[in-house]
Amino acid sequence: MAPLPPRSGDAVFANVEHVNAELFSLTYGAIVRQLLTDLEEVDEVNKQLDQMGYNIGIRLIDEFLAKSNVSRCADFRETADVIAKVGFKMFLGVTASVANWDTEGTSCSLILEDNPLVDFVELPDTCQGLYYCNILSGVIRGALEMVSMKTEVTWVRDMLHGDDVYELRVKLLKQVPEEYPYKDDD
Amino acid sequence: MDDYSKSCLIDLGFQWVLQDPKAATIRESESGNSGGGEEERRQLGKMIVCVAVVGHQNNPVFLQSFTDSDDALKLHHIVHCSLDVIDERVNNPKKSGPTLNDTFLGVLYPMDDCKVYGYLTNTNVKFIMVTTEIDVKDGDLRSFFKDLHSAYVDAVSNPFHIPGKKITSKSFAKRVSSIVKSFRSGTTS
Repeated sequence: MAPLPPRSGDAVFANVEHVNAELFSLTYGAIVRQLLTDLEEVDEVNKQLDQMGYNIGIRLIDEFLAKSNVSRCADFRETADVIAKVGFKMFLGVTASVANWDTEGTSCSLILEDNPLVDFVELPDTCQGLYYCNILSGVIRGALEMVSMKTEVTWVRDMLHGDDVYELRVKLLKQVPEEYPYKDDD
Repeated sequence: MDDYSKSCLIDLGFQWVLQDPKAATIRESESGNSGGGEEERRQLGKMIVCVAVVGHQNNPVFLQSFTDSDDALKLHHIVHCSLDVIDERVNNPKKSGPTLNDTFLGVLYPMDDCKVYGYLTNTNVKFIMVTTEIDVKDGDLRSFFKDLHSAYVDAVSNPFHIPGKKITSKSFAKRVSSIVKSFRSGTTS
């Protein structure tokens, strides 16, 4: 069956429940603030945000697949497109764009111009190494792992550090085929 | 200004005269610091001299002066004294006092050359503006304070801002500068 082009996320976005954007930003800000107070080390906070994102991602993928009705992706390129157009739109209300594919097609960049997590935020000088939106990298990693793709997600550009957009580098490490827990009966 | 004049000025407290026969050098500066000494446009007469934000415990949260650093101390002084006027007004509401939530207090203290305007939010945060503008329209002032209020709200929504401490956000300082500039260009024509 020929793969359907990823539908725009607008239709899905219109059907899911919405939350106030300011409440969302302020809540996320409070989480990051609290983590900083508890853990004190910026690297620890980055790791913890990634872990939290991972836990969200492994659960989020089911909701995403159920609500968005996308068909099975044929290759990683399609996966990246679906994440950028449908996934981000459905959960954050913004679309990302995909760029900078490498020659093998296993690594790409997701570029976000607008990010509701960082409304009103300015990093103080003491936290310059903080990846404020690191939860997003965890979410993508967790979600893809549940559909048998092991990936590595890193931040390339961050507007809070002075760049002009947010750029996430998603690298497909390997595709893990589904394993059945039982041996075949001979 | 010589020392004798300076000491007279301090004695008089409020009487603060802006007389700057020096040529108006127009140098724009993009970043803001609290406490002043920023080179901004210095035109004779009509300009906003300083903007201050004071918290509900009368703690200074933000102060930016748009004139010579010499006068920064006097500006602090003026702002302090205007706080007293605000307290007076708040505690003894006049019969014809405004019943709006965000109270625009109007002219707090007219002095020789400048006027002090105040604005009180319902969380008791005060915005104070000192200007040498002689004739300011009410509508301009209200919109100025409204813009200042929204910039303030965005600045305190920053999760890294500690309520009660000074606002260290550079973008807030930039926004205040641009609000001041647009006010100036709107009324000085």
